[in-house]
Amino acid sequence: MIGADSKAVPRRATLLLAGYGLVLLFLFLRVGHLQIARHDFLSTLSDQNRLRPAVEQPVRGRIYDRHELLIVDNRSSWTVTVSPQDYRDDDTVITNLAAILGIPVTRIEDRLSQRRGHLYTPVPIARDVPFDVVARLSERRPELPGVTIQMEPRRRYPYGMTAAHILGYLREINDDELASSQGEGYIFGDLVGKEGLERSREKELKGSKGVRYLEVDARGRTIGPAADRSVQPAIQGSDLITTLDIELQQTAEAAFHDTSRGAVVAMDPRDGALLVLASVPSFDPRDFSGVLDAAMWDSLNSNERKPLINRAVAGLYPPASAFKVVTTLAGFDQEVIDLTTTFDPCVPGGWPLGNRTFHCWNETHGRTTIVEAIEQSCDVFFYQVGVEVGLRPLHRMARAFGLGEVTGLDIAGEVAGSFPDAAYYDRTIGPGQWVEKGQVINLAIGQGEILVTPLQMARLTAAVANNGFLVTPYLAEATRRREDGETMLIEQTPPRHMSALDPEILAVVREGMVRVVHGENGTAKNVAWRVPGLQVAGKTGTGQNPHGDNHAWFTCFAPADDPQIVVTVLVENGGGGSAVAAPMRASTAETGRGKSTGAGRGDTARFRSRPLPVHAGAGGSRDRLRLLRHG
Amino acid sequence: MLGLVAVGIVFVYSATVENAQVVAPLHTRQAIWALAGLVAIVVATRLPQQFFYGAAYIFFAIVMLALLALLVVGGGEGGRWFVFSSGVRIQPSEPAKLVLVLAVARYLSGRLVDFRRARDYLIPLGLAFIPFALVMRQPDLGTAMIFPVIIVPMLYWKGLPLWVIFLLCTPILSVVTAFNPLIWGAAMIIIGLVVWRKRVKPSLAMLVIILNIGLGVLTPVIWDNLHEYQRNRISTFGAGYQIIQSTVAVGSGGLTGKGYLQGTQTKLNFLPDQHTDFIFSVIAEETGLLGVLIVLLLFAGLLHRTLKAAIEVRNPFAGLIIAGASGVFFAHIMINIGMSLGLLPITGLPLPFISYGGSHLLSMMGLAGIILSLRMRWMEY
Repeated sequence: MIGADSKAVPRRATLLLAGYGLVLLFLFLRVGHLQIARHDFLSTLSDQNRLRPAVEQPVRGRIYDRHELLIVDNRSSWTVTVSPQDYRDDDTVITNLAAILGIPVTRIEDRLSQRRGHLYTPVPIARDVPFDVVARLSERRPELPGVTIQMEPRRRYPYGMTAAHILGYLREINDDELASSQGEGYIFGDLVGKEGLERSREKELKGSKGVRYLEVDARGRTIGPAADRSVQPAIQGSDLITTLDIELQQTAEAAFHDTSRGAVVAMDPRDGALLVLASVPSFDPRDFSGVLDAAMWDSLNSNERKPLINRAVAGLYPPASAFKVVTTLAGFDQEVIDLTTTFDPCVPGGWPLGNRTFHCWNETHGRTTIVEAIEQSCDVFFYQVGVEVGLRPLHRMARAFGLGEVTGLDIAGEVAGSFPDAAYYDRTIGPGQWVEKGQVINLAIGQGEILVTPLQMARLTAAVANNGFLVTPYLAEATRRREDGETMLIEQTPPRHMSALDPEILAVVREGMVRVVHGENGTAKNVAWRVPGLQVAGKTGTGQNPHGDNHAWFTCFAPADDPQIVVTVLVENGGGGSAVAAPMRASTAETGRGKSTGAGRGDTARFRSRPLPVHAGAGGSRDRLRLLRHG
Repeated sequence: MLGLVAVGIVFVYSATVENAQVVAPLHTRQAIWALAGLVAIVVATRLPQQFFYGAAYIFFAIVMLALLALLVVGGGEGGRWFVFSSGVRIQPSEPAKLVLVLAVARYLSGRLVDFRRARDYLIPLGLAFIPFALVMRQPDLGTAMIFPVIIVPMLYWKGLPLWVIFLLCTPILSVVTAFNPLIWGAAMIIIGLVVWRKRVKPSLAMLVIILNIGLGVLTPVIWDNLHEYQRNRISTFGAGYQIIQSTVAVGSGGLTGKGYLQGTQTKLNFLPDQHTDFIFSVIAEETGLLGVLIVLLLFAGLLHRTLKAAIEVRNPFAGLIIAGASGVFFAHIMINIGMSLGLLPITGLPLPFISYGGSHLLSMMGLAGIILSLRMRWMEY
C-alpha cells in the first residue's frame, strides 16, 4: 500500500462520509415527512388500529298529534348482531346461530357480505328477536363467539294502522342512502325513516349516536376503555308534534266500509295545518320494521287495493263538479258572468254545440243564475261559462289554485296532477285537429284531462273559504327537545295571496256552496248532516271513471261565515254522492264536537295559542292567521 | 470513541426497556450481552494489531465452518441459530460479518494489490460469496445480501475506482430491473456505455455483459422457483402488514412522540418484531422526530469517528478494517431504517447496537473494540 497516493485516503474518506451523510439525511427527511406531513393521516390509522368505537343508538323522537296524544312511541327490543372480525369464517358459528334464530344460513351470510364499512362494526342479523330465542342464545354464548345481543329501541304504534301513510316507517338504510349521506354518521344496518314524517323529519327525530372507545390489541382483545377518549352519550331525538288530530283521523278511516277505497283531508283553511290526511286502505307500519321479507313486500305491492299508495296526495282523479268553483271564478274574472247572468236553459235534450249535444246530469234546471247553478250543479250553465271564458283563462285560473302542481306538503310522495293547455292538445291530438270549445266544455265541469289529488281539492276549497289565500298544507308543527322540553315551531311556507280574486265574488261562490248543503235544491241536501247551529258550505262532484263506478267527491268548509275547517272526501267508485255521506258525517261531527266543547276557535288556533316557550315564531304565525281572517 | 460506544450501550438498554412491557426478561438478557460486549471491547483493546492480522483467516475459517455446520446439523427457527441446552442461542451469521471484514482487510493489505488485475478484487468478492452462499441456504436472504455489500467500501478504500464499483454493482441492478424489459434495457445501455468509455479489457467487458444479460434473463426464472414465503417477504414490500404498521408507528409519533412506554402501536403489539427488526419504529413512535434526530446524529457521529480513525491509523490493514467496519455499520443502519420507513423490502437486518440480539450486539461491540484497539495503536505500522 506504500505506493498509493497519500492524499487519496482522506479524499476517499471524505467522499465515503459524504455518501453516508447523504443517506442519513435522506432517511431523516423521510422520517420528517412521515411524522410531520403525514402525521395526521397516520395518527388516524394508528387510532383505527387500537380504538373500537362502541356505538350507542339514540332513542328516536316520539310523534304526537295536536292534542299531545302519542301516535308513535318506542319500546325496547333485542337485536342479534355478528361482529365480522370475531367470528373469523367459523362456519359452525353461523350454522348454530341460524338454527337458533330459525333462519337460513344463507341469510346470515348474505347479511355479512352486504356489510359496508368497518370490519369491527357489528352487523345486525335479526331484529326484534323474541325473548325465548334471546334466552337460548344467551345459554349457548360460549359456542357463539362474535355474536352479541343488543338492546335497540323499536317503533310502537298505539293507533295501529291509523295514519300509516303519513307517519311512514323505518327501514334499514340502503347503499344509495349510505352513499348520499356521508358525514351524517350513518352506518350499515342503521334504521332510517322511509316515507312520511319519519322520512321528512329524519334529522330531528333521529337524535345523535353516542360512542365510547375501547382499546384493543393486535389480536382484537379488548384491553379496556381508551383513557384518552371521552365517552359521548347518545342524544335522544326530538319529539315531533304534528297538526294531526289522531282521533279524527281514526274516525275518518273507520268511516269507510271494508271494501271501499278513498281519502279524507281535513285542513285548517287559515294556515294549511292538516287535521286529517287519511288514505284507505292502510297498511301496518310494523310490517316494514327492520328487514321486510320479500313475500310481505310482494303481497303489499300486488294487492289490488294498493294499500301502499297514499291516495290523499298521490291518487289522481277528475275533480268533476267540484271544479265548477274554478269555472265560476274564471267567468267572473273574464266578465263573462255577473250575479244576474243567465244562459240557455237547462232542458231535456241537452245543450247543442256544433254538431254535438251536451247533457246535464239532471236536465230540469231551467234558467238559473250563478248561485243557483252552483247549488244545483247545473252542467249546462257551466258549459256555457266555459265556452265563453275559453281554454287559456280557465287554465290560468286552475293553475292559480295550484292545480297541476304539488302543494308543497312537508312529506314526500305528492304528485302534481295535470290541467291541460293548448300545447297539451297539440301534442296528444295534433295541431289543428281539436276544437277549443269542444275541450273546454268538458273541462268547465271538471271532466276530461284534469287530474287532481284530494289534497289539491282541499287546498282549493281552503282558498275559497279564506278569501283567496293559497295555503301550503303541512303536518309537522313543532319539535320538542327531550333534554329540556324546549319546543321549536317549524317554519311554514306563508300562504300566497291570489290578488286577482275579488272578495265579493268569493263571497258569491261561498253563498252558492252554502246552498249546496242547506238550499232547497242543494245537491248535498240529502247527504249532508245536521249539526245544530253549524252552517256548512260545500260542493259535490261525481268523477267519471272509465274503469268502473264513478268516483264521489265532496269538499266543504265550516262554519260558512268563519271557516275554520275544510273537509274533502273522495270515495273511489263511490258512485253518487251518497257514498261520501258516512265519512263526511263522521268528520264533520267531530268538528262539531270541537266546537261544542267550547275549546275555542278551531284546533289549530287552540294549539298555536298554547303557551309555548318559543312564542316569537308563533306570534308571526298568529299574525298570519289574523291576516287570513281579515284578508 | 469509547464515549460513543457507551452511548450506544445506553441505547441498547433503553430500547430494550421499552420492550419490557412486551417481553419482560429480554432487556436484562440484552444487558448481559452488553456487558459481555464491554468485556469484548476491553479484551480487544488489549490485543496487538498483529493478533488480528494473524488471526484473520483463522477466524474466518472457524466462522465459515460454523455456518456450514449449521446447515448440516440444522438450527432452531429457520436454521439461523445454534440453540444450546441452556437456552442460549448463537447466530453465526453475525460474527461472519466481523470476520469477513478481517479476512478481506488482510487480503487487500497483505501484498501489493493492483486493481488492474481483476483477480485482486474478484478474490475479496469470492471471500464474501462464501458466507453469502452459506447464509442464503439457511435461508436468510436479507442477512446474506449484507456480505457483498460490506466489502464495497473496503474495495473503494483500497483504491478501486468508482466505475469499477458501479460495474460490480450491475448484477444487482440487473436483478432489480429484470422484471421490466424497458428499464432493464436502459440499464444495459448505461452499463455498455461505462464499459466503452473506460476501455475495459475485452475479456472483462464480455464477462460483465454476459453476466448481466444472464441475470436479466434468469431472475424471473429464479423468482418462480423461490419458496412462497420468500417471495411474499420480498413482494409485499411497501404494502405488507408489517410495513404499514411500521409506517403508521413512525408517522403517528409526530414531532415529540407519544411518550416513553406510551406507543400504542408498540404496546398493543400492532408493530411486529418490535424489539429486533422494527426497534427504530418504536423509537420514532415514542420519542418522535426529536428522538429520531438524536439517534441519527449518534449514528452520524459513529460513522464520522470511525472514518476519522480509518484515516489516522497508519497501518493499511488497520485502515481497511476500520473502513470495512464503517461499511458494516452503515449498511445495517441504511437497510434497517429504510425498511422501517417503507423504503426498502423487509430483510430482517438489525439496527446496530440497538436491536435486541446477543450475537449481533456482541459482534458489533467486538468490531467497535477492534476499532478502538487499532486506533490506540495508530502509530504502529
